[in-house]
Amino acid sequence: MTALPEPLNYPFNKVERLEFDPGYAEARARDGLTRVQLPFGEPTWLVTRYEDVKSMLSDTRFSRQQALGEDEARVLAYTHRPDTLLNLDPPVHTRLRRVVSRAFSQRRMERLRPRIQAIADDLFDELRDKGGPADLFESLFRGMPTMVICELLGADFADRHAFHQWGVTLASTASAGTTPEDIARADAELRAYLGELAARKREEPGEDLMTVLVESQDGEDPLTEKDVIGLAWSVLLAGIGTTTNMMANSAYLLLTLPEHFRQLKERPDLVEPAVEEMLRHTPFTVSAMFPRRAVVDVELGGTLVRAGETVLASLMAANRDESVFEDPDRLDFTRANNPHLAFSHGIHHCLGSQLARTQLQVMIHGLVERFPGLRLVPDQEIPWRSGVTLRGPAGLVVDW
Amino acid sequence: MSADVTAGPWDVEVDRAVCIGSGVCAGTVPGLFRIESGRARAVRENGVPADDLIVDAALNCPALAITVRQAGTGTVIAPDDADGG
Repeated sequence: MTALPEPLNYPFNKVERLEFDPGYAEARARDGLTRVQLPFGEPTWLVTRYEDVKSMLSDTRFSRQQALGEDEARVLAYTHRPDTLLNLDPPVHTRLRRVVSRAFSQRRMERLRPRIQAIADDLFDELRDKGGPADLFESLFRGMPTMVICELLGADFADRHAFHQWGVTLASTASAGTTPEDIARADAELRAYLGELAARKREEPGEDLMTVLVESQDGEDPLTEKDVIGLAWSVLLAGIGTTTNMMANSAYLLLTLPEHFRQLKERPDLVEPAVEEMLRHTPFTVSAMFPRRAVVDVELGGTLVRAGETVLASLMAANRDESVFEDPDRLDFTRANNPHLAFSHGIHHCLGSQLARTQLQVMIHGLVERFPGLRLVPDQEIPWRSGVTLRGPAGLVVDW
Repeated sequence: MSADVTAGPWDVEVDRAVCIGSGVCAGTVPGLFRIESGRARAVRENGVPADDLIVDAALNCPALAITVRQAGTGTVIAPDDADGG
């Protein structure tokens, strides 16, 4: 057996704001996969070319579940829970996802859209009445996804602030001043709340995710109470921080690229492709995440990955692959072909992709149409997230 | 789930206008679904042997782009209307 190459340290370079790590282009150009070492866990193979990423993500010979644990290649110390959808393999994954999928179907999303619009309109009215300068992150991006998830789940709107706090605590890290005890407490409180909500929905069913979950407890393939709470928990956490962050990144791009902002004011029909293009273009996370372990030897991208070794797909690198996206570093709202992988690919493709898209579209339409004079207040120090896996601004002070 | 009581063969249709190319189907039933030019396609559309995984692919499709019917009768096996749509 040939020796494995010496791993490169990854993330490759220190990057600021939304700069794109040049190491990804180097990795795509290299023969075979790139052997990398993350701050925690074992070395892994980084997959960076579009076709390789797609092929790996839909290949059942790679197991997500078997890559969990202390060895998992990762940037933060904490290890992932084994019971969330993203960390399960078929057949358990298929069975659980089937239940939750019902609550996220295209048809349900279409019915949720007017509620999302109403939530956004209230926030926009509030912002307008309060007047500038104002922080968009605090007044819009932090609150809206939480409220939408509350609505989806069927929780009381009045509980949205508690939800928000749980979400913030559970997504934070030691460097953000959160202790393991804080995280454990938030986790226990949230699970208790979800248990009570499940009990309530059994008595009074509604048109919401928790009702879908508890009703599936009566079917021929019933979910356990633990399944129900685990699913609701993971949907909640997956849906809040990511959407807030993408809203903040989209707004940052539009506020720092006045030509693009003007283009959307003149052509609001471009908002939908603009949302897709910003999803493609944004380096959303500090590193690629969620490695998978080969259960047999697999030839991938010019490397023979041995059974037992892990691979890590970079969606960001794939989204800048010049063989698929012409002039990939350019942000182009009129790009004709944009099959980006921002929501991943295969069985773990983001369950909430349509919900996220709708929220981003509603948000960008609102900013462009209701605040056409929107601009960053000059000379502000934009706070960028640190100590977390997501990259993005944590504040954007604007006037209009 | 009606799959286990519904005898094959089945007809499998992907609405490529609705498909968002998520790859959920190709990951679930790699032998039947393939992503081509960013959209899914069933490599075999008619007379497909019954398999619960095909129903799973249809139910898990985020765009509800897959329809599974009983060959001959045309009875829709998946997706069903349980999501109230």
